[in-house]
Amino acid sequence: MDGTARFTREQVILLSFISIIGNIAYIYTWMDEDTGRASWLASFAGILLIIPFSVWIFHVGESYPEGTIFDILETGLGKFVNIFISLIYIFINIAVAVAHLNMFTEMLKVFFLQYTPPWVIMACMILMGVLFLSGKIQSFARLVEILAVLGTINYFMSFMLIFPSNFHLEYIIPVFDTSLYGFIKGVVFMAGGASECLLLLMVIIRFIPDPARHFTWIVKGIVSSAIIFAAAVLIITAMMSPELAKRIAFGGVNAARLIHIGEFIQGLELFVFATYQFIAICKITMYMYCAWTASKKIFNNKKPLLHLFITSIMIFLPSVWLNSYNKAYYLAVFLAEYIILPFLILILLLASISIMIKNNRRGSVPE
Amino acid sequence: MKVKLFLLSMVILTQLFLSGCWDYSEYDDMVAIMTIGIDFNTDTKEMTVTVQHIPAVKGGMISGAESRPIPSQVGVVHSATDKTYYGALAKLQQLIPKQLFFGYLKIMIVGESAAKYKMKDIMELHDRTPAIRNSAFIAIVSGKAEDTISTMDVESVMSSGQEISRLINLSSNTGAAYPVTIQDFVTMMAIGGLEAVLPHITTTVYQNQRVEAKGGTVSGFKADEQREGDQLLSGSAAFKGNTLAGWMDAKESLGYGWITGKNIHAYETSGVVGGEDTEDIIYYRISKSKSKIKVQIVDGEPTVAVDVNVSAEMRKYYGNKGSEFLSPDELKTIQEALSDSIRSDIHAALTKAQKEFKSDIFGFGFALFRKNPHLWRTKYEKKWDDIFPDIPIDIKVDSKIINTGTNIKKLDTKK
Repeated sequence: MDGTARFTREQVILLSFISIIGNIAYIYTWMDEDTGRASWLASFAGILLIIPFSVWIFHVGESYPEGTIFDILETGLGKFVNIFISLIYIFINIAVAVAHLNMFTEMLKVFFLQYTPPWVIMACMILMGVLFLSGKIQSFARLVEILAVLGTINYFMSFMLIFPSNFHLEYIIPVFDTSLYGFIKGVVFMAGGASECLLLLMVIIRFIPDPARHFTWIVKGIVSSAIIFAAAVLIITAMMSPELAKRIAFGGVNAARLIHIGEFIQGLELFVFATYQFIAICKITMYMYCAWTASKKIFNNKKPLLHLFITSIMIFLPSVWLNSYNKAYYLAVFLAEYIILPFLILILLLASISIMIKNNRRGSVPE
Repeated sequence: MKVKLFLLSMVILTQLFLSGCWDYSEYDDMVAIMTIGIDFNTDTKEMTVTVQHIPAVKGGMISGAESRPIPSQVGVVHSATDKTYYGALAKLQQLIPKQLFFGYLKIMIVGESAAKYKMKDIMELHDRTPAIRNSAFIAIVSGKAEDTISTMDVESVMSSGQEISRLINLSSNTGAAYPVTIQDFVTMMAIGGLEAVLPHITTTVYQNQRVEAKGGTVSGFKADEQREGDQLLSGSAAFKGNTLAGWMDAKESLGYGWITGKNIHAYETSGVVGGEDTEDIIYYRISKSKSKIKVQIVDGEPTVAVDVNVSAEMRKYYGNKGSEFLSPDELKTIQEALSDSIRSDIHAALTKAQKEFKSDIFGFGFALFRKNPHLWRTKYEKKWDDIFPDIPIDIKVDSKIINTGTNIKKLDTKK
């Protein structure tokens, strides 16, 4: 069924948007140490930095219509290399999902459900992901469209109420109070985090019609994510001061707690929480989908539902075992800093080599 | 299809557990804390936490023409003492038979000793806990916070915490202090080159007057504390780092407000009331105030220029002197008199901060950082405390009288 599915331009834009914007939960706090007040600018630049890699994926995808990057790897480099790369890919996707699931669960526990056991929240989130993926991928893409738009409107509507009383220009000007080295370090880290989007692109490329011609879709998605992400960081900084914002665990929710309207409306964190909920469920489902797709490929698409359940359990069990915001935060930072982007570049290089090998084979036997 | 139905039912089932089983709480089972007071005993090294809440059931309105709530509705005050702030806060649950709920906290009041020795500890907890909202006001009291919170006006319809909160809300009408939330205070503690200033509250009763614990006193607990009196917004409390540096009176606070560009709607006079014939003093009502702080490096040393712009309306003209008509020329003279008065407030504040507290409450260091972050970090940040007391400050006040009230002529009376 999925083989004939096609994503629209809006779906590609918003899928990439959610996969990038979800990182605001941890990236900002970490990069702020290096970038200082310029963190919003560094986030903007860092996200844009992944455009060449996404265009690369689109061009690689062109050579194998309706196939994922792993189909391309298998065609040129053989099954063994593909299985090896796929296993690492599955592991990384599970790690990303575990980190996000833990961070979201702990946020929920800190602010709203102090006494609810974390495994209940995690189970609920994972079950929702399984439910979404057990249907057509297009249905999930449509859901992402709706939730991304609702979440963004919801987030910024809450913060519109702070203008101008809680928006302090002196906290954001001057923009540069850091060294060039610090700024570049922040940009590279942001690019590492934003490259989570590329993990998804590697498998959804097969649903994008004529990818080489439609590479502007992903460029638009990444640029809009960069603008929204930078705007969110800017608002949090202007509300809380860079000194406080860089040490908080849940930026948007903490900032929304400061908003009050009159005597009785104290804090709008519930609204911002709703946005985080949308983002978290979409992100966790996305990485479950990525891991599931790669595992299905290894087993030649036999018993896909069984694979989906196994993948979900592989996310659920480590999440329950980890059960810590701080550990999940450092896991996400570690993945963004050292793992995701280098691994994706390696896959892209291998995929390009695979295409060259395939083309050479074709060249030796005239068609 | 069966699989999807199964998944859907599982999702619905788990969602039922989310808020229903573990975190469910009835509002009637909670008690809304309006005020928290924190004291530190330097002898025993113990912290005392005082909370004020409104009883949910007891009380009602006294009927009749002068309908008013009975006194118990203006807030019940309990306190507990422990080695730590959090310990004392937790201990209160042994005394109050309902879940403590801090969602509607109005104000946090810190006693003098706690402000001197325990501010960082207190703020670390407040900055971390999600239970207590950082949008609540914070104020410092002379003496003990416990005494201030338990001082009640029995004729009032508000609790002492609410009264203090309202006083702080209206503080721009006097310029004696400026509203600061817990979040603002933590920010001021964190930003380099800027020290914190908080409202200073006193009571109208003698500090040593005994507070009666009507509900009794046992080791570490006091229940239903009360004494009669009222609260007073008497100025500001200046900090240096995490420590209370000292008090500023209303004039010095006003000077602080002029420099930092606070929203002031205060009453101002052209001279010192009581220092000369009060009939020849002009009264003004400030309608708008702005300021600009510029820090420059001159001959390798930082210098500060403060431009203050004030708009005011005249409320009283000279009694014995002055011209018949309030012409533009006459207005110029009146404006000068206002500028002089504002300048004297500013000098009072500067002298106190630079010479006595040696604390940069005006944020001159922060202004230098904003002008040149690199220079601040490499040269001035570490030695700013030594440099600040001797920085030359150039004050420029530009006052504008936008109207002279309902009259444009002097009041003529029979001789």
